[in-house]
Amino acid sequence: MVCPAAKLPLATSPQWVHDTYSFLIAVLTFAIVFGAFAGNVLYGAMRAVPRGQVETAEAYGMTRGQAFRRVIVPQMWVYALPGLSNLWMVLIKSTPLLFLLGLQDIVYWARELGSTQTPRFTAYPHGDWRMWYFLFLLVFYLAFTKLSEVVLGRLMLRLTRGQATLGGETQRKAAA
Amino acid sequence: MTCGEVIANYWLRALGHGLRALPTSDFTLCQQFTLIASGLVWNIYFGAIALLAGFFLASALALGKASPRLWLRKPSEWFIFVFRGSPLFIQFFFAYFLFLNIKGSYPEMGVLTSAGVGAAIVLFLNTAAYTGEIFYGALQSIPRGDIEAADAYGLSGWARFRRVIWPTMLRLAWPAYTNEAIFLFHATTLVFFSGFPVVQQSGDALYYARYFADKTFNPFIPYPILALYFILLTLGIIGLFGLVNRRLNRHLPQDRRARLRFRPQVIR
Repeated sequence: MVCPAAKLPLATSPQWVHDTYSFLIAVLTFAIVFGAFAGNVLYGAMRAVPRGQVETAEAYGMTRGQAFRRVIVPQMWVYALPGLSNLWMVLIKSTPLLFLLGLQDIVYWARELGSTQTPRFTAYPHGDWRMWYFLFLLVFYLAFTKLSEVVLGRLMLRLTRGQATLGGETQRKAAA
Repeated sequence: MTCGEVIANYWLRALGHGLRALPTSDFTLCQQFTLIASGLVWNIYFGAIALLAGFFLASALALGKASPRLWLRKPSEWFIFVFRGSPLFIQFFFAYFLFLNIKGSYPEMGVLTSAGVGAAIVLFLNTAAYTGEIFYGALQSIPRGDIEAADAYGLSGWARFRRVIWPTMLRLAWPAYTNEAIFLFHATTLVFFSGFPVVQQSGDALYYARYFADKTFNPFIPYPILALYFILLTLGIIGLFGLVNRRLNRHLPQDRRARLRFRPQVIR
């Protein structure tokens, strides 16, 4: 049992405090979990920047910090993007699990509004429509995934430009 | 009840045998370990069925996606996209309500709404799509030399596929496939969690863990027990797949063998 004065948020707080609180909890949870994954991806990407690039920076007399800021960070994104986009795909598919936290997202409303409505409680009675609501959700997620794929593909193309990778080389040859 | 009696009463509870009534007060560790373990049968059943059947469909999907023929490639691409592009538990929801509708029109198909059949079908299709993508990737990275060597030996068509392409594809895909198998078993906990109803309190391991967490208001005992069982299950899968991996790589020199790497992909 939690003593009423220690409840977070207080039982007497207005509704918007409760909503904001659960929203922030959800964001924080996802930030911790996916931050760990993204950290791992970025670490791998940093180490994937070719050694020669850093050596060249050192040969120009850059300090470690300068080499990091001017050479490694601008170049690591092309190596990080595949991992990050993978993570993004997983993330957009996992946010509906938030309804477990009591957050009312699209899945919650699909369950709520799609279930059988009797004339006693609503002006718009209908049968069990949840199948169609979930079909819509399925299509919604597929469209979201497709859109992400297209955007991330363009971003990848943009980031590959001028990089010392196979993709960058192909682009350079195609332009020449 | 002594612990021995608890085990005798409850170890087949998830299959509907044994004592009908679940414990409602004076919970012991013995009860929790026994009931959660009995629920694990469902997870192993779902995982094994989906993995076995999915393997064959996945091979077909990978070949279809790599095919130059449009009428083979497009359906495979779409199948993989649909099942990989949407969350598994929404697939469970949708499938369950679809099966309910089918049951409404054709009552003899009512068996589809039971978890044992309906959820197994969804998991089978889902894992086939993920595995199909893995196999497709492996198919694309078969060394050219292997195929040229097969040509040089006069192998072609089915013989070349059976003796060179397919074993090499499996060898290359195996580490990733091991991961897929592990996370398929973890995903089986979603069956009763979302969508499919539990009949007569015969659920999977997560169902019993949640039962105890709800009754005792203490999630810190049942969930770690559940986690322990799943870690053991995962170690079993890694061991089993490791044996197959050794066999697939047996012709390679020791240092060039692909190592199994555990790379978690937590949510699907």
